[in-house]
Amino acid sequence: MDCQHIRNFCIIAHIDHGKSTLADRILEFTNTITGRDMKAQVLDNMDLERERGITIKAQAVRINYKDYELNLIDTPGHVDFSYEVSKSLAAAEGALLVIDAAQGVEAQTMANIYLALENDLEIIPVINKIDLDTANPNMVKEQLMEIGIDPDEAILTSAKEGTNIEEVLNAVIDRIPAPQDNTAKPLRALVFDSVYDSYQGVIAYVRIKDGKISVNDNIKMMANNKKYEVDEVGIFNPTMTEVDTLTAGEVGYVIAGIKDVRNCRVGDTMTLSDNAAEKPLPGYKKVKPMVYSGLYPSDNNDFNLLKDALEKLQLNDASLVFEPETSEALGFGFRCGFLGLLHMEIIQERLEREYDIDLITTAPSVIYKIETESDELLEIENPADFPEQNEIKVIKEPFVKATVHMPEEYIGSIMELCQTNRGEFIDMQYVDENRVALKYKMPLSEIITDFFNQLKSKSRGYATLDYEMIGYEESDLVKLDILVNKEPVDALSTIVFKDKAQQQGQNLVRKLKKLIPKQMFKVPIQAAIDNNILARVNIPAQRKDVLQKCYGGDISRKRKLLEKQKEGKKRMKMVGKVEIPQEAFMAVLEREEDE
Amino acid sequence: MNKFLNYEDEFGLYIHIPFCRKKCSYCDFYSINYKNDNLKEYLKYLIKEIQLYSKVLDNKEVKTIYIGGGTPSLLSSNEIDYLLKQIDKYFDIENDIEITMESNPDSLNEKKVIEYKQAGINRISVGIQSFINEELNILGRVHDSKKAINIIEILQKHISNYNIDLIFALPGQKYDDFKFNVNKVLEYNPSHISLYNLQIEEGTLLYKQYQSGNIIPVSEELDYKMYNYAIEVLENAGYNHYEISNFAKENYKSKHNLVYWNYSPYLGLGPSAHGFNGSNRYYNSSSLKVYIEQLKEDKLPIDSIINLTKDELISERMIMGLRLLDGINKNDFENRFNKSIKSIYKDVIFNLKKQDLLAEDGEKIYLTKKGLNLGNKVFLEFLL
Repeated sequence: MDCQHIRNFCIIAHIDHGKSTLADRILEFTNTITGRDMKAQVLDNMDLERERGITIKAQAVRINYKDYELNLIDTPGHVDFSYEVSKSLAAAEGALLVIDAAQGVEAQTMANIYLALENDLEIIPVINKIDLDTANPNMVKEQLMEIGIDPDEAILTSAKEGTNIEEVLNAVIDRIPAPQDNTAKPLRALVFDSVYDSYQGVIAYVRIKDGKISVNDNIKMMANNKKYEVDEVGIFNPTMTEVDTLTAGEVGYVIAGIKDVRNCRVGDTMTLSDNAAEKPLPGYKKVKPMVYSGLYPSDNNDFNLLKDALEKLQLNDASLVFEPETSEALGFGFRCGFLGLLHMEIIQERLEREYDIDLITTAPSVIYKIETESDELLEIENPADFPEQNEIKVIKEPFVKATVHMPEEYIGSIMELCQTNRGEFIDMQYVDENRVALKYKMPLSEIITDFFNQLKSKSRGYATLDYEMIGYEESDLVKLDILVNKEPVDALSTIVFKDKAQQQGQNLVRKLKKLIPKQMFKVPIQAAIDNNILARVNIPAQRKDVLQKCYGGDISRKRKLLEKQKEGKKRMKMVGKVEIPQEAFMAVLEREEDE
Repeated sequence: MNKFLNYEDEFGLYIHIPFCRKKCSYCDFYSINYKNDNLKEYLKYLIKEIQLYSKVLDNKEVKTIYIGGGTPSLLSSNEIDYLLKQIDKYFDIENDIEITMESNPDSLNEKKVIEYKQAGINRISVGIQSFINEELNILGRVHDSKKAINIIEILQKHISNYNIDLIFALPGQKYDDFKFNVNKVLEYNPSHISLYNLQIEEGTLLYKQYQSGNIIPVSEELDYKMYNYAIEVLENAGYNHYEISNFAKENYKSKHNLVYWNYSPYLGLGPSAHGFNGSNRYYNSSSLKVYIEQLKEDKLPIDSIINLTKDELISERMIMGLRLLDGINKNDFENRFNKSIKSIYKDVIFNLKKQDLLAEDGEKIYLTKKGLNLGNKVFLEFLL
């Protein structure tokens, strides 16, 4: 197809504003998918994505409409995956910016607009969900004006009811520029996503920027110069369909016997090994994990199962990293690195659901940079590996710039929340009459411990968060140890801000008292820094636990009750003589309000 | 014929009367508001169930009879008489077997007690629960403490073998309140006492009150104190503490309930009743309507039959048997399952003994005093 009849576009939106539903309607309207094949939200492949209503992996579909070839590139909707979003955007010339007619502009909307502008995309605003009683398109139009987008260009839709889908498609053709015809140049194909298939190896999702790619071509990946031979090229319409060649301007997939997604990362450039391009496409970076956590099987016999499962997940997820680690309390497990909290939760859930492994997860942490008295430089992500307090000269931790969007009535409580999380005020702006964007500089470690949940609860769900890394800065941090029955439990150690250690220690022991069931003996729980006890509670011994009434009609019921108890016991971890449930290890994460 | 109906040995017979005047606040069983017509109709079908079983059972030897509920004392003495005559007609009953009937003070009087006895009832269990009116109110009982005492005096006069049910660990109950209740029972020296701590079960009125914060359960510590106080006082008064919640004078253990704890066969009649023939358990539909419809079609009103695996049988045998203070006889176990307890539970027994929850001698294994209080900790270790 000549470039004049190609349009590459993506859909960007804040979470839940209806991106996937709009994509579904477009596919239906253009008969790319018949109603019968239609599962709601076709582009979200994984069950988990559909359940959470978010898109995790970017997808691409070719739509034939009128005389045009429209390539729809779906993008992930969460801050953890913003690098993947930016690469998806780089594969397109235009973007549909979907905004919920009732919710208006949110933090992620803004973040996406900036990404789109950075990538020079033509933005078509789409005000969605106009069927809602609470819809207020005029309010959204005013917001658009504020941020410099022409509100008259906005299209009003209800993706749910299929309103104005044709208008959206016409705008894609009329307003989004055709890709440049660079077919004559040496091949440069942008990898904007890759998935692993156990039969074919890595399937790379590519946008051909320059040149063309065909079966049997010898290619190389420009990030690491690894070479492969192309087995298959094709398009998604929406299922994988083989073609002979993909040329500049087109979007499709390439299969080339690549065995590991880490050799075909998002953002990398594919070129021909004989007629190589001089420079790769700009902007490639290897995404680095930001959040670390220990994952341990509740049953130590499942260690190999967990290892296999992590390896399988990694096949599809180059940003997941892990290495074995040992905990005195939890036995053998893995220290895993994630892009963010959501990424971490998704991996945990997939391990439990798809691989049926009971997991114990330690509180997430960031990478700390430590300068020791002996002038060593350490990078430590596991609190258990922290040096003794007196050996530490300087500790540095990562900081982010956090942007929170919210209705103005919540300013007070959100500012307070940011401040108690060591936030440093940068800036506040009105997005429109009622909505405010707050910017704070904050330690990443505060964001990953329950900040998001607190934000939601303090704003009754209306506040939204986006953040970007600023870099490392010095902080006054200490390691807070927890002792259960006089023994330190390494998996419960956390790194905390020194001034907050006392209070957090108290909160934590109190919380653990609620979560650790009574044992048959008294169990003291203590919080300590360097063997100095900051807080202590006792869990009294259990005295009585017996089914008092049990006759002929009760046996089945009571046996089931006992079986449930036994199941619960299995999910606990023996630390010394004490049984500790999984929730206790997560307790370090959450903070109670008003304490 | 259905294999589950093969009772090789004599069995305990349980008959359920699912009617109550008023549902107690702690009760989570299916029960129906009492109306005389309903009860009459029910009895008709209960007799039909008896007849159907008499046709299909090979072995019809009844070891004990227990009429439970609900509120069996809503039945007139004529109805009880008729029911027992029908059982006698269709099953094999020896002359002097234990025949128990549960009762509530509010539906009992002296005339009825005398007539029940004439009809063949030789053991009456009465749900006294407490002698304190506020406590009876919390429990949603219809009677008051005066009525409770009046009924006990009547039983005292006419029935040598009667049981008093007491509930303890009520919300707001003080240690002294419970002591008062126990000592009040001892004044009458009944042949048998059952003692249960209050369980706040989902779906009950109490549970709702608990959720809305209107009642606060007693602490585990107080529950422990009350239970162990009762054990001490009752033992000193000459009662044999023979099961976790049951106390009996010499020769007055409940023979019917021992069937359950010894994991022996029993047949259950009436809606929601359970039966067990030594390898299968079954239970009737709990809805009276469905129960009657089935019988109208000459079908046994069975909802489900569960074929228990050998592991389940062994687990349940242990769980039920350990409730008895005499525990489980090692030879009996081996004769029944062709395996010794030790060969199955060596490590479990070792660990529980180490924690002072379990003890054994040459003959039997049994709960220690500590194990009685922490029975669930022991029982779950015996699940296979």
